[in-house]
Amino acid sequence: MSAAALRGAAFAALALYVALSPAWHQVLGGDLELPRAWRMFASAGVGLVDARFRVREDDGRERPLDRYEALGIALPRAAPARIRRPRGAVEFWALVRELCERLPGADLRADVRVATRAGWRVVELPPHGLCAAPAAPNGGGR
Amino acid sequence: MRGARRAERGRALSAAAADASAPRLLARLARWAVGSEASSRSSALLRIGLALLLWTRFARDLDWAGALTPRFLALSAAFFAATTAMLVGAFSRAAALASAAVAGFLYVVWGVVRGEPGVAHHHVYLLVVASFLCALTPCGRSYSLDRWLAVRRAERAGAAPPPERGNVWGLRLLALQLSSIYLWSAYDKLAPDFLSGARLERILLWFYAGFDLAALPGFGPAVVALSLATVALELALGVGLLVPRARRHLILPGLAFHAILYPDAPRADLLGHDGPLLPRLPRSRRRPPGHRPPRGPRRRGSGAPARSRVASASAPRRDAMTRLRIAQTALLLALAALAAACGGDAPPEPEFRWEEEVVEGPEEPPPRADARGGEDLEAPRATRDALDADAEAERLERRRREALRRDEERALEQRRADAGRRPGPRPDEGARGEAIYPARDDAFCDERVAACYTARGAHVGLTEEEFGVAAGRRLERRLEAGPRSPRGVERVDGAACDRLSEVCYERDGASVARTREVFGRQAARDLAARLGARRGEPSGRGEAIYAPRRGVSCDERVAACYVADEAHLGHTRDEFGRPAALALERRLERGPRARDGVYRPVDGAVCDRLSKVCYDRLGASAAVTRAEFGREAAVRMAERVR
Repeated sequence: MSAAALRGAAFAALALYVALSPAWHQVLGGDLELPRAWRMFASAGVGLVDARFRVREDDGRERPLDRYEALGIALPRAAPARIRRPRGAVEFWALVRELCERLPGADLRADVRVATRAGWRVVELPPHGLCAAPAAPNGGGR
Repeated sequence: MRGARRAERGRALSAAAADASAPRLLARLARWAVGSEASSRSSALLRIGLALLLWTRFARDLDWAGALTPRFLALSAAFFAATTAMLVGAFSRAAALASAAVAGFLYVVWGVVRGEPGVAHHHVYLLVVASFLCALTPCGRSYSLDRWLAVRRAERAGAAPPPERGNVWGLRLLALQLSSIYLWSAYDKLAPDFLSGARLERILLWFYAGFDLAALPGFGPAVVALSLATVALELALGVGLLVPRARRHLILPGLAFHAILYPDAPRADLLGHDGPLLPRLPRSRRRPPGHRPPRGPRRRGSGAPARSRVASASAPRRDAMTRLRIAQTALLLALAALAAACGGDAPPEPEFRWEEEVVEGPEEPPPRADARGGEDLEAPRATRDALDADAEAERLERRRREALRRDEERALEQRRADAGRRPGPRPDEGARGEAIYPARDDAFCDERVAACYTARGAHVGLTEEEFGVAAGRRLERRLEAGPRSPRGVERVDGAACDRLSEVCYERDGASVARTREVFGRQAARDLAARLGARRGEPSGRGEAIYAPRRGVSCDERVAACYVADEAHLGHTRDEFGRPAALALERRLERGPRARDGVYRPVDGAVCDRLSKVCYDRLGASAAVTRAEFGREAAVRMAERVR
């Protein structure tokens, strides 16, 4: 076999590997570290809970609640991550509990959606307030 | 002039039609792939850039100061030898191959097998592949020691210097690799969640949490537009970079894309999120068999003919392309050099790296109320159902917290057990302190997280002095992660705020008011309770007897280190800080007969009455311990050796 033919064979093999190996993960669903998939930032932010809090007044009207203001945090960007970007149910309910502690007796409501790999999913919350104990055992207010 | 161009184009088209048959197409493809020659300068620049990137990524991990074993030393030596040779161009191709081998070893053994965070990352994988493919290029024929030696040899022999050209099949493969990255990345994005803007939105909300981005007017449509533009650009780059005519139109958008991405996405590294925008393959001059380049006066050190009117009518155009290539490679080099100069080995992990980090020593604060029991905070069923998709992330988090809780419980049980079965330190004696104390006029240290601060920020040197080198390194790693990381130290209006401990420091110490302002009421209350706390002893931070390096044994219980047959103040200071070294010094001054003295029972061994452990040159010795303190002490010692 001549050097040129050898080089051609090596090129073909390497080119096939380079071009098609990611298909092992991305098409066939393999999970090895070799070869690699080329997915960028695919997992960043998965589990992030995007919550918009509201407080329902006695007359039934609702006003938006700034979580940072309610918790006495002047600089939102410097707030702990569990407050800025709670991830998952545990952190979300911990945040709810902190808010409920800070706002005793408030009827706290929220529009909540969770980032999943398939997109945003709206979370169905109990119809009564978040601070009501039965809805969130130990996670809600007192 | 225009007529001549048309005629030329017509001839080219008819030649292409004639070439259209399958065997000829294959022949053309083969010529493109493995039969092209081009300047070796782009390969050389690539070699230099890759060596710098390898240093940027691994040099700190492999420095000799952290060497513990001969195997590590050998690996480190191989890495630095190979990458240095690659950089200067000594045995360039072999050096590139060796560098790829070492980086591949690190990727597989450290990353895949051992699971070191951030090593089994696709950026590292790409460095391995690119270094390997670089070895297939004529990367040593320009800008290298090899080149310099070859020119000298030629001068001595009175011959023309060797040409700076070579077969560029390796560059072709690199080009394919680059296109593959863009195309597969685009393929991944051709999913409804990305095209609808949802993925980009979550990424932005994640990285920029605390800013109400969603409230910005037009945020939703802008995210969708950005998503579509990203996919379109990646597809265009994937295909277009292989087409010479399209390439020059895509270089700038591609560079702009990565330039925007780099500061935007905190965890992107120099390679860009999609991979490097490597210097592109120079357009080779395809020559029919038997064709020879025009012989003209050659420039010294170059195989290319000197610029002349004879060379080609399209010379200005090629000059423009050359300038573009030079600018492009210069940019890559500048970026690489900048990163190397800044020591920018930021962990290039875009996917919840902070979750996967190994929690070391006292870095992690005690679990807060929300972590006292994950089960207690169970969400309603509706929420749980909706959160199924991120169950994996939840599991990770829960596992981490459970591990923390288990560790604490174990430590507590151990202390209780120790207290029950032996005289010696009281159960609470030496327990890690909770105090925040002034170490200097304007510097304060927090025992809970083993770190020191001034109002300007964290103080690594003082931390090393107070809590040991390991604590200093941990703090350094936190600082490298950036002030916005969950464990970072940020300056907020003239105060330094540690997100890990949730404490802010001003010029005169920890500030309850500022802590309340930044971290909330709970954190302020916690700080206020700690301000009156007494400083803990340096001893008792743990129970382990361990060897930080060969020949050195350290005991966490008494915060002391031993080398051969003596207690060692220097290693004690390194491991446990200055206060521990002072305490040990005081014990040594009290003499070997003191209750907590250190003495030599026989030649080559040292015993510590406080810990009831003896050491010889191999470390903690069960035989000597049993002989000096009895069987029970030897058993307890054996339990504590790690």
